[in-house]
Amino acid sequence: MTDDTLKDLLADYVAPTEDGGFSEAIMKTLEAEAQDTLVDIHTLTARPGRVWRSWLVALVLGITAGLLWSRSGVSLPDMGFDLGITWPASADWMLYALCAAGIGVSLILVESEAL
Amino acid sequence: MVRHNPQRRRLILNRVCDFDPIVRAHQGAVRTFLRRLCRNSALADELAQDTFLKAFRVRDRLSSVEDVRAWLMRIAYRCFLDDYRQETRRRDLSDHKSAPDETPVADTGTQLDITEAMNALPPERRACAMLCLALGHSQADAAKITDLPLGTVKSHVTRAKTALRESLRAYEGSTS
Repeated sequence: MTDDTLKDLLADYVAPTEDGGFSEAIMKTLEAEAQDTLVDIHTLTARPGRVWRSWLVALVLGITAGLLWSRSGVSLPDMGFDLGITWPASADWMLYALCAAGIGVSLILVESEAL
Repeated sequence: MVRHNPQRRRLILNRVCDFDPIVRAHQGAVRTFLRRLCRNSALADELAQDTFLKAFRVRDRLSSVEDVRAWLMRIAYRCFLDDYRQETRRRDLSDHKSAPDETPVADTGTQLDITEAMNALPPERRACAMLCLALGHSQADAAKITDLPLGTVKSHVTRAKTALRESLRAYEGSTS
């Protein structure tokens, strides 16, 4: 018996099964799956522990930046002060940069953990 | 280094409905493959659903897949193996007989003989026989789908051919 004969004999054995509503059922399942995934991302419930850890890090960074700000003795209307270090940029720009870096790192941490 | 192959069909699936043509195009082949492996239609459809669900979860990888059907067959075969191993373990532990294999009502005469001849093969060999002898996959493709070494697939196909020729000897010369 040749390979072709065997293939002919097995043709009906491997004939595709008729749909019979199977595709619709699968698509409904997939839609439900996609919906569940969206809810997980939006509500950040997939890994709440890790997300809260990131928020804690963000809080610590924020408090540190706030402490540095308050220790420098500047108020918002009067941003000019001297940190007493030799630096080409002015001290108030350094303070802004520090806060921006803190907020940026916090956001990156929160986003990376959330996803 | 990323290689770009212009022949490669790239699929971008951002929405669920984009998966619809894939389900419709391949559900028949996947379900038949699983039905023949499981010998139980209800279980096969359940595994087919798992197959498409798993494929949907990793749909991002589809852009690098050359043969979507072979990719789905591979996932389907993994689903079958997982279930088969669980069922075997459960049977060993509980000492219960599983439900008898189902014989499709439509199978009569020649089809019944072919089904019986195929069912006599162990599942791994049956999968290789289906892929290489009936569905026209190369042995290398079958090795990828079943995750078996190429030598093992070759051996399974050779043994399956011998067994089928022996069982179906009466039909020699009956086909064109």
